[in-house]
Amino acid sequence: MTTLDNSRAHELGGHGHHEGSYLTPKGGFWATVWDWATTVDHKKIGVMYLCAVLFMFFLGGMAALAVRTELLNPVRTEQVKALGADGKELMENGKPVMKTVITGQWLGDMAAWWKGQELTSIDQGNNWYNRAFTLHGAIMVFMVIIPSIPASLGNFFIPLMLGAKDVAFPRLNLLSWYIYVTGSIFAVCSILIGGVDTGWTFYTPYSTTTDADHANVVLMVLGAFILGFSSILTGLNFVVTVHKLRAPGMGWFDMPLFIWAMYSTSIIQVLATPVIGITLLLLCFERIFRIGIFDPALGGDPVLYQHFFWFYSHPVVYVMILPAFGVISEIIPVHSHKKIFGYRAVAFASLGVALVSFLVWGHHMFASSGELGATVFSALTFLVAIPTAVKVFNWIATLYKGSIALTTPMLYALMFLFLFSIGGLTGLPLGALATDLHLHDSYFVVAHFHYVMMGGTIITFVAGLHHWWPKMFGKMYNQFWANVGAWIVFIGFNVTFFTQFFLGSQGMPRRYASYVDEYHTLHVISTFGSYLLFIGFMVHLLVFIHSLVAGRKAPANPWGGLTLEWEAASPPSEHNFDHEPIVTHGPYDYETTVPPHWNAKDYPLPALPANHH
Amino acid sequence: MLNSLTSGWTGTLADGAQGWWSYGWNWFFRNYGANPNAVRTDRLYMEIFWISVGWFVFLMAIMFYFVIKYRRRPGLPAPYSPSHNTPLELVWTIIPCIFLVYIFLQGFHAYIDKLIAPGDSLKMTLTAMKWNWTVTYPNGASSPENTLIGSDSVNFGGQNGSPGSRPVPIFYMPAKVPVHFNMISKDVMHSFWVPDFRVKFDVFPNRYTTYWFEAAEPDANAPYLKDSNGKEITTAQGKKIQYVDHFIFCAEYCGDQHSEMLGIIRIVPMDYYLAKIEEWNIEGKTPEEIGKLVYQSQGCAACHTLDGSKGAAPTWKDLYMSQQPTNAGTVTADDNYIRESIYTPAAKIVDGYPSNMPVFTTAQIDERRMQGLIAYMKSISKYSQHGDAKTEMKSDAKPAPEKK
Amino acid sequence: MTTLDTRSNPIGADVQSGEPGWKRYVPGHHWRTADEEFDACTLGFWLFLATEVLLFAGLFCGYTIMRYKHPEAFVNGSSYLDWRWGALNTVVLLISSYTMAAAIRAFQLDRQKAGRLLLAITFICGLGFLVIKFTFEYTPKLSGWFIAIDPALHHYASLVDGEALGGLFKHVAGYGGKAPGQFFSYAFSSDPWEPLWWSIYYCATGIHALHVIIGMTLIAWCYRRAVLYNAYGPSHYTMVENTGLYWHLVDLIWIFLFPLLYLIH
Ligand code: HEA
Ligand code: HEA
Ligand code: HEC
Ligand code: CUA
Ligand SMILES: [Cu+2]
Repeated sequence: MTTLDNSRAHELGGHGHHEGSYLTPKGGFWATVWDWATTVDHKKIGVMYLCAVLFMFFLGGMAALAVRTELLNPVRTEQVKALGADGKELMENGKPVMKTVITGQWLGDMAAWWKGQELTSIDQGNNWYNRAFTLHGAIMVFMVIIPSIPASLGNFFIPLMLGAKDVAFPRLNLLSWYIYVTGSIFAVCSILIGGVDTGWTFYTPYSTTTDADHANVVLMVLGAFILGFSSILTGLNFVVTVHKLRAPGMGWFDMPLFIWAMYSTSIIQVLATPVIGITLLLLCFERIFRIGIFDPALGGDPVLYQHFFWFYSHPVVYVMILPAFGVISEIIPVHSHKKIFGYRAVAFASLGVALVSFLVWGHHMFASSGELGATVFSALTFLVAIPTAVKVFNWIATLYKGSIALTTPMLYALMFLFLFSIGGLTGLPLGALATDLHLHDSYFVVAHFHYVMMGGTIITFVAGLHHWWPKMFGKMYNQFWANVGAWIVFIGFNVTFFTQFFLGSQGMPRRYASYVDEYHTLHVISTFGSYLLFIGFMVHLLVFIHSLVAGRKAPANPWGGLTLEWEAASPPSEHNFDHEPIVTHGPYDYETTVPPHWNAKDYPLPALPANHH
Repeated sequence: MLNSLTSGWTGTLADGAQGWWSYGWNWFFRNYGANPNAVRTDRLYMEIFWISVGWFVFLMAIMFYFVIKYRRRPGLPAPYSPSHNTPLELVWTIIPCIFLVYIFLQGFHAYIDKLIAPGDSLKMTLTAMKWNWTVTYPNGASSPENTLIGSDSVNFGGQNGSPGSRPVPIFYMPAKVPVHFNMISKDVMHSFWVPDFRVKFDVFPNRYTTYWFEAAEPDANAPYLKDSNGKEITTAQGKKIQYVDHFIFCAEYCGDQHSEMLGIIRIVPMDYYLAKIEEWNIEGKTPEEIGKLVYQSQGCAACHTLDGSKGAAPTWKDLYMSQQPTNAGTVTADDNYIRESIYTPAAKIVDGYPSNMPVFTTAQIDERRMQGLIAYMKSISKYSQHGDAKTEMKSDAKPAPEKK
Repeated sequence: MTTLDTRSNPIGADVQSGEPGWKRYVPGHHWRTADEEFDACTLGFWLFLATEVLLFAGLFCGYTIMRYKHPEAFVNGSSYLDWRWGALNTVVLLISSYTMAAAIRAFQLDRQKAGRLLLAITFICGLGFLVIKFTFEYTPKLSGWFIAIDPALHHYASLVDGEALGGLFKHVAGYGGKAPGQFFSYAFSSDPWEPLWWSIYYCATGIHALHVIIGMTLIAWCYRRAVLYNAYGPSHYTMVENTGLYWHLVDLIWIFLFPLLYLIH
């Protein structure tokens, strides 16, 4: 309890002295809705983001299942015997009448059934497939994974971990939520009026010429543009918050590593997003006015578009993963009651990754760029792997001589180490020039980025959700069923995506609505894995709903964490802390500090070596 | 592997290419790299794979060991242990660097070999369009051969011969000679990928990119070429011809039929290749024959049918001199209309069809080929007889030759 | 507005108290002191400016590459721009930058009247910039209609083929149609890629003009609050300060655009 001076310790331990929790409704139903809709409280905004992101994750997941279901069978056009109204074979001149049917086209069949027509060409199904994966990629990237950890957990916990009452600009924070919702509505509208078939990368000149007389692409691109603003504003808010709102006594190197990771993330968000902003704007102009900058037919350069796009979208993959690194750097020490190994190395690795991430975008274009550029980008790509490797080593070293509890968050953190290592290591053959020329735009890339994005970020997002759930909602959840869910997700994930490495190196190109039969078996396995994934996430969803409805009340510090958020009540009060906390120990000093709200009896401290300061 | 097309050829690893790294190779690749550069890529791939497996197993083993050894025991604190160790941290920063430098250099060397074509290569042009490939051989001929990937185990868009299935072009290429493509696209970006060569490169509109390969000779077990009746084909000297096929995939997303944009590279002995491209040379052919060649080799077959069935585009059966309802009113499909439909397809759009017919230039379809196309269409149209009289000729267009 | 000023309305309940707004200003509840809040707002705003610079950096990058690809089109297209209008606009913006800085200074010294006047001048300069841009530059190029006092008109005296608004506007035959992309219909261009140049010209100056408008809105907002509440004074001037930063950025970008667009040889 060393964080607090003794006079206040009993106040926090006892009950009844707090202001109400931030979740306490303000009056009737509509008053409460209005209160949430206009709130500037970072916690409520964080929860609103959480709901929005999980909803979008669900939508994106459904699109993914549609993609996988379509790939269950390759498309064939076949001649079958036609049947008459009586169910018998039709005959003509003694020979059965043949008719052409298209099989293996689940999406096409669905569309045909919806319209009450028969499917006449394979284009229709392909068209739907292309829309499905674009929808999936765009939702998952722009609406799920970029805001996932930063906007929901970050918003909620950055001020708490810093010992602040709120983020620097609370109203800006609310604004960025509304911008996020507006951008998502644009994207969803674009889907409702027919969808977009460009892929999430919107490569020109395809994206500027497809569906020439429809506004879908413009709407989707504007949606992404708007979402960019939300991302910039959130990042800007966090940078200022970290600079200006640390609790008294908290120096830069007393900050939890989650804050370091979020700080690095925010820098990337602020510096990279404007470039995609102007790019997407020019893309819209290109479609509407045919301005020609990206269209070779008009004198422009499609590779320029790719440079612009990846100048943002590569750094953004670290916007996705750095917050995950931050969450892992919290979960591992807390659940093994162990000081993080190499605090400074981990902190600087975050910054290092953020810096180098701006220099490697060209590795997405090895198959379209000249030798010199490709070589430089390849070398720099390997550079970015080093700080990441350092982090992995540090996390594993942290486990050494720990007191490791296999709680759901910890289980997920270990799964992260497993999956992310695979994902990161498969980045190496992609970064190497000779192998990338083979693997580029194949399922190998698909498998790589699902291992890092899903196995890295989404898994960690769920881990963080389980870690902080008691703090956010004041309720415990059923750990047994949560662990069951985690295992189903883990197995389902590997079944879905490990197969895709083989598909890719064997030659299966990505964004293919259909394929030659050679790839059938692996695709079938992958599809069943994705169904398993769905079941796993449904288990989590039920566990969470059960917790909200009937969960046991959570203690203020269920896992024994030392960072400041564990000093607040569960759920925290309106203004986070009753008194401004004063930092008197580091965020990971498990060897010398009894966690707040814990009894020294339940938390025996180890004997320190004599020379310990 | 393409054994459904070529039944049974597996190839061999280049001499001396086997090594520790090649264990497990067949999990990842169905077909041995079809040339030394491909083998080299496989080798690098497998090296990275085993390096990664080494690191991964090492790290995971430590992790599991720690998790079990140091699991939480009630009442026992985590013992004190140092929270950093500079020498250790330096070591684990530097060792991965060494691996990474090695991988980078290997990747770079093999890449340069893959990209830079030897000077004495056979030069050809590869044109990509939605959703087809054409190769123009050094003598100006293009390949008219198609196949429906609809045999037993390879099935792509259709069973053999079924209406609506997609024919994919077959490009004959000589073995053991470097072949160099100048690649250009007519519309959006595509990417030319032959997985067996382990290389792909993007194809852009309005700008040339290059691609080269040197294919290994079909080995002793390779199958023999057969004609459509299943009879083995022989050269003039009576030699049977062994061949091996490689898939071409389009690897840059390009729209609805991106996944149907396939092709086959058929490696045959040099003399047979030369005979083939001579066979397709338009010199000394009748206009109808030329028209048919163009139909098959320029990708018209991808959209237009000859049997009257409705494909992605109007059928050519009975097209010539018929009445076509278009967005510019009903027109007679005479020579000038056909000519216009090919050079500026957007001028008049036939009702009920999208405006997605690619533009062909005079470089692709010169005057002779155009005449050939018209003659060919005429030969398959029931209106051609009484059509002739009404045809108005532009001054620069020669009258279509009479049917023989 | 939040980065500029954490509170939209500093008047609170005691409007009638007679105290000027800046004295009654209280920082947001999560700040320890007003100074910290000010620092945070300034830091936040600088970050925001960085994003603006990067946005334009993308545009400049596109400009550079397109100019490298099609130098003739750029030289040719640029020759239709009259550097004198560009220079005049540069001067207008430079003056406004000065008055903006002076306005901040005035509020810091609690010289309310001077501050308001300077804000008003800044606003009017911004307006002047836009008027010059639209009437002397965009309109003739797009439509061929010149305002009668445009000195460029005497070059085309023989081509004038119409008048409007009592001779205030004159139409020059064949001059219009220099529009971006597919709307380009100028008949006498001598380079096939000229539409591209015009696209870049309109994108760059259009997006810049949008920023001028945003800046003017901020200035108007400051002015309104200064008039209504005396909102800015020695101890609280966050919003004018940040508006000023924004305005300088708008000016700076124009200073880059001017030579890049007008002075190509
Ligand atoms: C969360 C997102 C994320 C992350 C973190 C990464 C991380 C990395 N990525 Fe990935 N990548 C994507 C998301 C991500 N990527 C996406 C979305 C695409 C495709 C986009 C599209 O086209 O649609 C892509 C595509 C992509 C390509 C282009 C492929 C192509 O299209 O041809 C390349 C090529 O270099 C690449 C490389 C890397 C590398 C080297 C890392 C490195 O940072 C990885 C570093 C990690 C490790 C190395 C593992 C951990 C370390 C150890 C276990 C210790 C031992 C290590 C060593 C000895 C080295 N990625
Ligand atoms: C964050 C990023 C992300 C995530 C999580 C996923 C998740 C999944 N992805 Fe996706 N994917 C992309 C990003 C992502 N993907 C991108 C960027 C592309 C490229 C697109 C392009 O080419 O343009 C792509 C492409 C892509 C393809 C290639 C398509 C092609 O090239 O033809 C495939 C094919 O199998 C696929 C499958 C899946 C599957 C089965 C999942 C599954 O893991 C999904 C499982 C999730 C669910 C089933 C939802 C369940 C949710 C709930 C029940 C809500 C409640 C949840 C909680 C309480 C936690 N994805
Ligand atoms: C991508 C598909 C596609 C390819 C490949 C294609 N066409 Fe077409 N073609 C169309 C479509 C669609 C139309 C109908 C719309 C129109 O009139 O432009 C059409 C129309 C035509 C017409 C007018 C037919 C009529 O009914 O009036 C002619 C002639 C023609 N094409 C010739 C060719 C030739 C010759 C080639 C190859 C050298 C070719 N096409 C390749 C799609 C294609
Ligand atoms: Cu052509 Cu994809
Ligand atoms: Cu990348």
